[in-house]
Amino acid sequence: MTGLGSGAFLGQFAAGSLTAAMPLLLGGLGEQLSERAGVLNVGIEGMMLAGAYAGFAVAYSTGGLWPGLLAGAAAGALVALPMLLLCVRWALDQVVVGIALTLGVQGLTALLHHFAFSTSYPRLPAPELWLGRFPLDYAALAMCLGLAGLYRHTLLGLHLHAAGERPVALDMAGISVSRLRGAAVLATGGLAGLGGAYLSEVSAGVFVPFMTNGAGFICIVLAMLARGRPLLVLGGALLFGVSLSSATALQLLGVDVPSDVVQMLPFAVVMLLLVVLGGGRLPAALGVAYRRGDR
Amino acid sequence: MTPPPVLALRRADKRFPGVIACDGIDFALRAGEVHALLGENGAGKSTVVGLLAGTQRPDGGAVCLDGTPLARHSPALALARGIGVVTQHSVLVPTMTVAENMLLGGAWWQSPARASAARQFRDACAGFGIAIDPNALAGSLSPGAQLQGEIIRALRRKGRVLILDEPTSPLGPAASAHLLAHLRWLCDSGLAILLITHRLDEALDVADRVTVLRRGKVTGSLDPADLAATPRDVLTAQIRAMMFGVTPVTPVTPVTPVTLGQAGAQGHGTIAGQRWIPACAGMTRLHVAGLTCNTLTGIDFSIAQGEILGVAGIDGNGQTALAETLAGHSQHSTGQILLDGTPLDGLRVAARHARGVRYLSDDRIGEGTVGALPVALNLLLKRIGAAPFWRFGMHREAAISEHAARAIADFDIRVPQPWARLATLSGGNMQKVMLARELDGAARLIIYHKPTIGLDARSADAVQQRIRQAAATGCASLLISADLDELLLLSHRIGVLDQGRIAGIVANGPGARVRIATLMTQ
Ligand SMILES: Nc1ncnc2c1ncn2[C@@H]1O[C@H](COP(=O)(O)OP(=O)(O)O)[C@@H](O)[C@H]1O
Ligand SMILES: [Mg+2]
Repeated sequence: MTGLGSGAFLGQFAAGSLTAAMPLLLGGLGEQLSERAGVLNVGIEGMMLAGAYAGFAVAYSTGGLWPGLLAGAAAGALVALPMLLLCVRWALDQVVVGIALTLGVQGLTALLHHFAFSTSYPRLPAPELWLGRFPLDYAALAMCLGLAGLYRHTLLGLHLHAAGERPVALDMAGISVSRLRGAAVLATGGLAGLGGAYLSEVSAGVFVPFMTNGAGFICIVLAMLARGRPLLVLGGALLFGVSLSSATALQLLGVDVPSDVVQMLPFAVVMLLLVVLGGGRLPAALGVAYRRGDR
Repeated sequence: MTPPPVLALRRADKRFPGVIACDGIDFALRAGEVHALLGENGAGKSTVVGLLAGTQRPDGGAVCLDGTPLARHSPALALARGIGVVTQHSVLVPTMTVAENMLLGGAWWQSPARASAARQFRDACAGFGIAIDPNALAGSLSPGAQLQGEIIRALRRKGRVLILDEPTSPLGPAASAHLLAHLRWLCDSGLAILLITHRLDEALDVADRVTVLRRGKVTGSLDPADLAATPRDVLTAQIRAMMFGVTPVTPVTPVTPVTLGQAGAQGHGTIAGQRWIPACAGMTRLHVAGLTCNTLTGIDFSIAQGEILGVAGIDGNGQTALAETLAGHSQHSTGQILLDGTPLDGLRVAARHARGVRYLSDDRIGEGTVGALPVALNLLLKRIGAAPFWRFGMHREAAISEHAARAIADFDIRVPQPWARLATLSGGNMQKVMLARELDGAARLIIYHKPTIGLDARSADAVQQRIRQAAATGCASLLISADLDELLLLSHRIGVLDQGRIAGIVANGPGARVRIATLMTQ
């Protein structure tokens, strides 16, 4: 049995942590974007799951991971479309719509999986690596920095801030709040779908119904804890990656703890973080639909 | 031929649920003129601004620019056509710096030029004769400074029209005078200016033209010739008549004065045709001296047993602070509050409630009640856990139901059954639930904050009856309302709140309306 301290084990542990962190990073960045603009996207769990299924299905049928990732992002954005219409244009309750979307996608992907893959349970080949990692990892890190720059150094960043904080200020400045929020919701869907596709194609190599297993909700927590700062999403995602992969490592090491307890670890970390860091300020208009002229 | 007005409303209608905010309004702004728009609370002035600014869409009629109707007006179009708008309530993003606020609206890919925006803003401030730190968070500025910042932003765009909705309300007298002088100068350079204010003197000092609204209709207008030809005091009387619907010379109807203990107030007013005479003339119940907090300064008044003291004033002059300070919701005040001779200072809400202080919030749905809970529990909201309704932590349904049934019968609350969720009730019935809860036998001081706002006439009537009955049992009542008619109907005396101070207290009776109107528009 491998010892805890051995270099090989630690290397694998770190790699496993990163792989587990990546979907959370992508989804968390997406959720953060949407929350900045004032839309609480509770449907992100569904968007990730849609991305996971579409990504896997396309990658399996075309044999290419990249078309799969693209399809995953598109599927996430597609699930975000009803959110855009219902919540941004027609001002329905964001939480209710988000939950409904998640439940709908869970049912739909389970059904599709049942018809397409449930007899064969196909597996994708391991992805080709570049300098030891899947290339998207580098892109995700770059995106994290890019978003930080965008929030701070472009007017788009200021406009997003205004949309989340005081949408009427943005409207009176001549910028359409619903268009900006709509774009943010679609982008969130795309990022969440990409994260989901990463999960099924790169991390797991298979699609299993309900495989996101709360990752979307962890993304919401990450985004809320990180407030406006993308680098904090990265930090949080890595922390969760470590706790997810220590759950696996503990099992591999045969530590005698019931597996249910081990699998609770990431969620215990969520709650701990919320208790320790929670209570900060969220955007004032988060979750509040904007309609011009209302008061 | 004179050129068409730069910006105009043509027979514009705007309805909101339950009110007609604009009813066939014709209104025009001309280049080089300051046009003052006057009217009491809720007359529809801000709605006119919304229509002109493109934030409200008219239900009928049109917004015309240079004589041509605008098919689809919007804030973006207003900006593009040089219509600068400073709304009544600040639209700065409080969590951004002032300079960043100035940058909103540019092309999205640009990088925000914070430093140069700050420099330009500072220069503009200097040109205006004020100093505001462009790198301060907008939310940290005083309301007056926020407003000045917004005016500077509107002016920097160098438009053709400037619309200011109550710009002098958050400003002190000196800053107001400074602004008005600047407006005069701006309009001489060709700008068309719309100025809304409550102070008639301000309006008459700068305006070339005056339009008065009352309940969504234009009730009068004065053109430059009228303004030049008529003496100031005659103008003021005329405008007050248009604003408050009183004839300039009030007919004197004799009333029997009713002395009310030390309060020395007069009873006046009728409900359902019956002359109402205060039941109880007694000792001072509530005595407030030197009450001061961040929005109130040196408030002094007392209320006798059975007396209703009305509080009039334009919204945002300290009404909420007054109500919440007395009820104990906000604790940061100095001065003295004596209820029946014992000080309330330092006591929190529950302790004041135990001493008989009752508060009907104007935020019926948010603060006053819990929509998801049944009516029966809402009726006991402040006594949850107390015997005889709860024993050993268990609620006793029979006792609660019985209490609810009694309240529902007494207060004529229309509800299918006591355990229906409160959220299913109409506004009037929600208000009755709150009244039933607050007006229990132990009430000694009741603070009503806009008790009939948003209610239909019948419900409002029922609520007003209750307010009277409660006073008749000897409670001291403080009635804060934006509705002058309601105040005149119910109160013995009426105080006017202006910028956190009591501008004066008027005994109700003939001529009270005019005196209150005068205090409100000084
Ligand atoms: N956005 C809105 N939604 C619903 N009712 C409104 C809205 N804006 C104004 N009202 C109502 O229209 C009437 C006129 O309001 P407003 O134009 O703000 O008056 P003013 O500025 O003269 O005090 C009031 O009865 C107000 O309650
Ligand atoms: Mg107004």
